This record gives sequence, C-alpha cells and structure tokens, in this order.
Amino acid sequence: MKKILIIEDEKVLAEMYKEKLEREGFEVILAFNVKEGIESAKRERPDVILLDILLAGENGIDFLRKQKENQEIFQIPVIAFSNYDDPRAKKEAKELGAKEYLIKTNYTPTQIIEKIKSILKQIE
Amino acid sequence: MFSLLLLVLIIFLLTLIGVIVFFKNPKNKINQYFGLTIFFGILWILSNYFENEPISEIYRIFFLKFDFASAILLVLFFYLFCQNFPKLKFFPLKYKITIYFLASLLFILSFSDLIIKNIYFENTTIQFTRGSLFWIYFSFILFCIGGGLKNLISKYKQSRGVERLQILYVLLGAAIIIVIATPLNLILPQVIFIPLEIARMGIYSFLFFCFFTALAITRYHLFGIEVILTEALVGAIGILLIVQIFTAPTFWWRIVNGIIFVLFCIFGYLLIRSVFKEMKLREETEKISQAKTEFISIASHQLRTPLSAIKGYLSMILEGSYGTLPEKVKEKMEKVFQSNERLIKLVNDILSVSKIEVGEMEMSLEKEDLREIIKEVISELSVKAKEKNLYLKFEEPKEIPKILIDREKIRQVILNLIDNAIRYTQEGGVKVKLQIVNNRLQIAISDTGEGLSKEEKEKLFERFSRGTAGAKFWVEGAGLGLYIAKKFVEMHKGKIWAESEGKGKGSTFFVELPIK
Repeated sequence: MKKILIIEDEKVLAEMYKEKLEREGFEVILAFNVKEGIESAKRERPDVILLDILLAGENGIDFLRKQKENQEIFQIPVIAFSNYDDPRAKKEAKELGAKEYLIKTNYTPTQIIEKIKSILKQIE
Repeated sequence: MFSLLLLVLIIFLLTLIGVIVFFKNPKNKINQYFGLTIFFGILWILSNYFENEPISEIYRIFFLKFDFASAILLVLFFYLFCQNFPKLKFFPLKYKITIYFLASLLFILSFSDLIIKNIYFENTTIQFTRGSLFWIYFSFILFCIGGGLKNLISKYKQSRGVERLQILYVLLGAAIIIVIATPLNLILPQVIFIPLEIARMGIYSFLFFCFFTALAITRYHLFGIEVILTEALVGAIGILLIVQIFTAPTFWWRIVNGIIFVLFCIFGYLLIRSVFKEMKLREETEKISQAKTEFISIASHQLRTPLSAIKGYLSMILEGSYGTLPEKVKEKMEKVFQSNERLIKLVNDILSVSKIEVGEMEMSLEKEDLREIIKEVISELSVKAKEKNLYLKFEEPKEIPKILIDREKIRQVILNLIDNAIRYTQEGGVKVKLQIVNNRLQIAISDTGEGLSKEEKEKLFERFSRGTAGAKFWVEGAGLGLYIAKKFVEMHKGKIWAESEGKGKGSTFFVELPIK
C-alpha cells in the first residue's frame, strides 16, 4: 500500500483529501505544519508528499528547503498544492524540487490522485 | 595633492554608503554582501592607488599583489550580491563551499608568483608578466562579473513593479562603470597615453555603482529618480556658482555672482521641493495600489479555500463516492458544481485583473509549440462542442517554429476564445487556423455564430463588457475574459482583434504573436 503524507493546515481540506485517498487504497498520514511534516516524513518515509504552501508559521517553501537539506527524506517526491497563486512561489517551489505546483481550486480530488499516480509511475 | 584629496573623498563616500546600507539591516544577507563588496572595493582602490605612487618599491610590489587579491573578493561578493538581490536565493551547500574555496585559494595565490610574476618598474609605472595560473584567475573574475550581471538582467526581464526598479538601479550603476572604465582603462590606453589621474577615474566610477545600488537596496526614492537627479543637478550648478564667486575678476562681479548664487539657491530649493512633492504623491498612489492588490490577493486566497472544499466534496458526491444519486438530484448537483466552477473562474479573473493593473503579473517565458497548446485546448473543449452538435476543427500548418511565450497565459487566451466561440454558436461550428502571417504567428478562430455589431466590436476587449448575445443565449460570464486575453497578448507584444461582417454572420477572432 502506497503511503501519502499530506501537509495541510485547513482541517476541512486535509480530511477531504485523506478520505478520497483512502478510498483509492492509499495509506494517508496528516501533518498540520512544517515541523510535524518533517517529523512524519522522517518517521513514515511516505512515497509522495502533498504539500500546502501557505501554512501557519513556517510555510511550504521552508519545508522544501529543510527537506532538501535532509539526507533521509530529500528524495521523496513532493507535489505542492495551494490556493496561493504566486509566480514567485511557484518558481521557488519548482527550483527546490517540487514536481508540480497545483492550484487547489482548479483540481478535483480525483484529478489530484491522477497526478499522484503519474508521479508514482515515474519513480517506479 | 589633488589626487590624494580625491582618493580621500571617494573612500569617505564609499564608507558612508557602505555603513548606511549595512546598518539599515545588518542581519540581512543582501546588506552584508553589499557591505563586503564595498569593503573589498575600498581595499582594491587603495592598493591600486598606492601601487602607482612614488613610495618604496617593496610596498608598491605588495600593493600590486594586494590589488589582485582584493579584486578576487570584491568580485566574489559582487557575484553573491547579484545572485541574492533583490530576494535571497537558496544555494546548495556544495555550491557555496566550492565558490568560497576557489576564491580563498586565488586570494592566497595572488601573493605568490602563480598569478603575476617578474614585477619590475618601467619609468615610474609598475609592470609584471602573467603567471601560470593567471588565466584561471582571469576566468574567475569574468565568471563572477559576467554571471552576476547575466543573473540580474534575466531577473530584470522577469520582474515587475518595485523589484524591477530596484534591479534597474543596480544595472544602471553597473552600466556607468562600463561606460566610464571601458574607454579609459581598456580602449584608449592602447592608442594614446592616458595620464594616471584620468585612468583612475575608471576605478573611481565604482562609486556610481555603489551609489545606485545603495538607492536600490534602501529603496530611497525608488520611484523618484527625478528627485535624485534634480538634487544632483542643483548641487552641481551650486558648486559651479560658488567657484565663480571666488574666481570673479572684480569685487562687483563677486557681488553679482553672489546675488545669482542666492537667487539660484532659492529657486533650486523650490524646484526640488515641487519635484519631491510630486514624487511623494506618486509613491502614495503606488502604495494604495499595492495595498489594493494585497487585499485582493489575500481575499482571493481566503475565498478559494471554501471553494476548493465545495468543489472537492461535490465532485466526490457526483462520482458516487457516497452512493448513487437519484437522477433528479444528480442533475441539480451538477448545476451547483457548474455554479461553483463559475465562482472559481470569477475569483481567478478578478485576481488576474488586479495583478495586471498594478503591473504585478509575472511572465514565465519558454519556447513552446503553439500547435500542441491548441490541440490540448481543443481536446478539452471537444465534449462541449459535441454536446451542442457543433464541429470543432483545427487547420494546422506542417511546419511552425516554437516561440517564446508564457504557456499558461497563452493557453488561457486560446481556451477563452474557443470557449466563447462555442458558447455563442448554435449551429455549424468553430474552426481554428494557425499560420505564419508577416513573420508573426497568427491564430484565427472563426465561428458560424451570432456575429458582432460594430458597437460590440469596439467595446469587446474592455472590462466587464459582454456581447448582447450573452443574454440571448443564457451565456454566463463577468465580461473579464477578453479583457484579460487582450492584456496577456499585449504582454507578449502581440495583437488581438475581432472581425465580423455583422449580426448573424459569424465572427473571427485573431491573435498574432511575434516569432522570437
């Protein structure tokens, strides 16, 4: 069973994506901020990380920086997904290794799962 | 004596700029890199000065080597500054270690015979021959200056608003060095003898770079280069008038010059004050505009969160995640879903318009194949055309060059035009044609739909403008799509327009983009 880590501080969205992913047969771990996200990534070693960018306190870009400097988790593919549609944030996330930068409102949970599956296919 | 006074003045001004900028925000890496650039710039200027002065030869040799050593650290910090300005950039640790290691090594080697050797004196000037590692040294200097400037230029092209102005100031400073130093220190010495005092002006032009960069970092009167230039002009004329007072041949001329000077001071002050007021007003307007964009940006983000949840759960309900829906309920749910989609589009459009209007819409240019984008859009909209029994054709050329565009923006333009064509057409269909016309790529989207009246054509690309057919066919929209499309095309230095022979005769929308 593939493991997905969702780092999202909006409870309603985190639960919605969790529910959809679990229905599709994924194991899902939730984290609500960068610190929890890094700890969960180290502990659980997920196959893909779904990362919100505008988080409370440290943001998703900080997570990507920390992930890149951490030997244990730097290889885990990250899909950034946010409603913060800022070209600079997009560019920075891509430069820091995010595979995609998706605007949440433009994707249904099913479409996000398609993206996850295609990334899993690429790394297999 | 004059050259020493000038040196003291230049060093004083550089130190002043360095101290002001550094202490404005000592913890900021950009201020630190700039401070270090100035620090090593001062050392470089000093060593350059003393290596050519009539002092002990041992000291002159030391200063020449120190000149080479300090130049390495000067360009290193200049490079790091350019990479990180106006926003800090993340560098992998390996990269940082490599560049620092290389610079330190070259710094130390500058004192050996590997960079310069056989130092001798010809008449009064100091000369040397190139050491075995000279070209490596030279390449590092070129890499730092060239790489730094290249980076700034590419950031300038991509940036907007305040950031763009900040980078422009730094580039202006760099351009002044190039304009002054290239003829004085590189071209003219090959042809004629350049006195040392004049040749030094090339080195002193470093002051201009530091001055403009300091303005950029501190954002002092960033929107008001006019104020700075007026102040500089008034100051320069004031100094000339003072000189005239002291050099006047008679007492009465001195009095006349004195009166002219006093009058000039009064008018100069009034001039600076009025320019300053105007700039202040402009800065205020910019601030209000910035605040408006920030508000819209945050509000849009806040709106998008619940919209994402509505979209997500509705899509799951419609997909049957919570059981099969009765047909009637499903039909209504689909309408709710479509309304939500419309709301999402509206939020996106409002955000785009607000960004366009304050010049904050950024471009991410890459070489793209327009055929692929058009095919992608057509495949996305083909279901919609089929539902209305319309044809949707693409007449593509065999060969077409890739062009430099922002893929997402041009995709949005094409999507908007084809989507509109389908919406406003009840019979027949839509044809998309891509061709090269007058050395530009032209996309023509023709439909057999409602057509446009002359008045509609004129107002089509304005904000909140909707064709009368919109109401007739129950076509929804806020009237922002074509306005945004026009702005996006103009950002690519392209052209967008519509042609129609009149009501009921269909219409054709054209987009022309330069081939580059």
